[in-house]
Amino acid sequence: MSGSESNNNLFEQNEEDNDYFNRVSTNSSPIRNSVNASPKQSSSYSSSPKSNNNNNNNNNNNNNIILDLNDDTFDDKEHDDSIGKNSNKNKRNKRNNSIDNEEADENTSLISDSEPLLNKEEKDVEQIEIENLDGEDYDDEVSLQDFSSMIVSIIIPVSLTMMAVVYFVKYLNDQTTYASTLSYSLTGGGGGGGDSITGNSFVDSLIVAGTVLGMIIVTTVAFVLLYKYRCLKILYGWLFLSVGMMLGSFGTTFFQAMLSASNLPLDYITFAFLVFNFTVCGIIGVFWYAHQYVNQLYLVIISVLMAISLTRLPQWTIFTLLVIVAIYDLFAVLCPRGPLKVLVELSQERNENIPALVYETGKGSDSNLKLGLGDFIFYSLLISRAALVHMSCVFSTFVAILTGLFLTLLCLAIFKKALPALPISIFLGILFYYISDNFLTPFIEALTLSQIFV
Amino acid sequence: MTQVLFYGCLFITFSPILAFFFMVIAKNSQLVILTIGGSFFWLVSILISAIWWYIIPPMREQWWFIISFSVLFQEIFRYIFYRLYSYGFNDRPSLNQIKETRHQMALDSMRKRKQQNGGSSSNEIESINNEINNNNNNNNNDDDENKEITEEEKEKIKIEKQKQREIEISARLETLSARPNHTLSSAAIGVGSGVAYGFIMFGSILWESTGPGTLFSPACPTVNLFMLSSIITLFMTLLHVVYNVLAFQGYRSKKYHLVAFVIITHFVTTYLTLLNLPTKTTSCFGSVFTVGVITLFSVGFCIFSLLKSDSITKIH
Repeated sequence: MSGSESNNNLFEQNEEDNDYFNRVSTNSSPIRNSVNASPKQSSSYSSSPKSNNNNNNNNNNNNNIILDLNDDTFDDKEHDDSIGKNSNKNKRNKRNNSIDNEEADENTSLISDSEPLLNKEEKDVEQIEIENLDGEDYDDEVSLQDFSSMIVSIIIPVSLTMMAVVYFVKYLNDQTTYASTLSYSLTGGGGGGGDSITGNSFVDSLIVAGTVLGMIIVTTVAFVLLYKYRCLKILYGWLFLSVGMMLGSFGTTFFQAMLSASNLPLDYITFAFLVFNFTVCGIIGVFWYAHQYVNQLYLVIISVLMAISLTRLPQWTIFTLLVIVAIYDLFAVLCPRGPLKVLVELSQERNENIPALVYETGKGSDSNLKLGLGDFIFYSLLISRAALVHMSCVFSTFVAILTGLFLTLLCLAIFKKALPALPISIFLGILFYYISDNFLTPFIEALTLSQIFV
Repeated sequence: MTQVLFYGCLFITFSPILAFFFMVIAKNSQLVILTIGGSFFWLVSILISAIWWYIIPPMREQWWFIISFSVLFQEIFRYIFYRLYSYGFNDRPSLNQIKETRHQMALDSMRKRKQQNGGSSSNEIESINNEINNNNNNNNNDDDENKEITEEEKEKIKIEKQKQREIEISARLETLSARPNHTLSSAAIGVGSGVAYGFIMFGSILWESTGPGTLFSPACPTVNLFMLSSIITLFMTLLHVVYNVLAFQGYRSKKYHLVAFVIITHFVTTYLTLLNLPTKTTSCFGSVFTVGVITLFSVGFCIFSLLKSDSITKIH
């Protein structure tokens, strides 16, 4: 390490020599990463004077590429040395995190604990604890490449979950109806849903969402208490049972719905065999040793099943639920006495992982990012709700959620604390959903029927 | 039967742009993020034009009005995104430049160390390193001098910590800003807006094509609506990529004739699709063919101007 550090030291000593940047000549084609420092040989196609790019040096490599990208700059401005100095500092800060560093550099992320109840009627009153935290386990030295690949590595599973949910919801919705009995049992019929904005439905949706929130809070607090007093066996037993029940019952329901929607027959024995194996593999894949892809696949499957089931709630209930859970998430993660913050601090003190359902991109690699499963579930819920309306809403909500996720990750990279991933995305998503639903859909329908392309 | 139509139209429209995405852009994560940004800004522009269309009911059928405002909003948002992009990436070096500079510095320092005496300079470097290490760590206890901490030193440490934190945050933001190649970035943003265009304008109705029955174009009643839409959408998505590359190049090097070309072409192609209406001067072949010709010409012009401004190089 001393070699590179001494080089970085010489960065500062050579502040006057600004001709390093002028001598740079690279060919930044994505196909081959060759770095070449030879002077410019103009063998390019046109003989006109080179207009604005003094730093463009192209090379005459004889390979099969006909057009090659040059690394261009804005103008011939001298890049000052603040860039060099800052990269120095980052290299020096690399492995010097002492234990009593007040800024929590090793953040672990949070749990999403979801357990379905047994009854089909109360299925929607799930004890979904979605604590949405992002944590990162990377060094101080993060370049844009690492940061971008981290973002992309979390965007891919989120997009896959959303696409799977949209596909299945659209497929099932075309064939069957998508009703729910939850709101009827709680509010005495006719509440919480529908397209009209009457006082009745809004209040009913508040009641239902409040109930779900209450269950979330109770379960979170119970979880934190169990973790605090080290009743790990109860904790893990609870988790195993809940994931198993959820995979089993939701898997059964969903599998059966898909079979009946596609008009395929299957006998009970094979069905039971498949579902049983699926469930057991799921528990092993999530909680024990499995290949990383299997682990991630099962986490995505859990999110998909959960989101599809939650989509059965009435429309207003879903939006109220999303808003309430997003606000709760904000408080639970950032308030000093919030249960999630307590949980994160406890797990950091004991220096162990939070035992919960957390999606982890790349264990032990440089780009290690943890996102709670609740984020997946609520994003997919919003998207599937949009899918039940119109496909243009789906895409605009998709872009909004991805942008919100990107902004959240940007805040995470700047502040390096555990942050709630829900609020920005959900609020942007709901905003774009309503605008697209009311304005964009009629616009597009009018345009496509007359074949005008804007 | 309609499934065949669905898949056919899907692949016609989205194959080139998705192939470009997966082969070029997906290899570099920064470009993917730029793509998402590009589609976000395009989406905002189309939402604003939809709102504008909606709140003026008498003009809803006057297509010339709607088209001009829509194109105007798209171009305005392209310019806004260009300002955001240049604000973020203006005087940062690209990643290749940083790597190359470090490489050069390493080579020079190695050369210098060979020239100087080995012992003294390396000791000097090590001591400077240690000092800088101590200054840059919050709670570094490597040095024995820091064991006894008095009140003043605690104050100093606190102030240093705050400064350090600020420097850390700005350093993090600095290193977050190495940029990819400008041409590729603008192409990625163009792919973003093209893909968003394709999915929103065309993908919304594509799902309906899997139902029973099909729709026919109002201009030529023998041509399937989805087929016609898919071909025109293909051209428009490619054109979005070209527009973006040309427009960013024009904004960047202040060659406004490129920007004027983009705006004029955009207007011309969207007005040409007015030929699809079932009026007297209707011709679906006319619109599709002309838009195709304009697409080819624009792509050629884009490559030509890139070559001319030395952003790409022709090798044999």
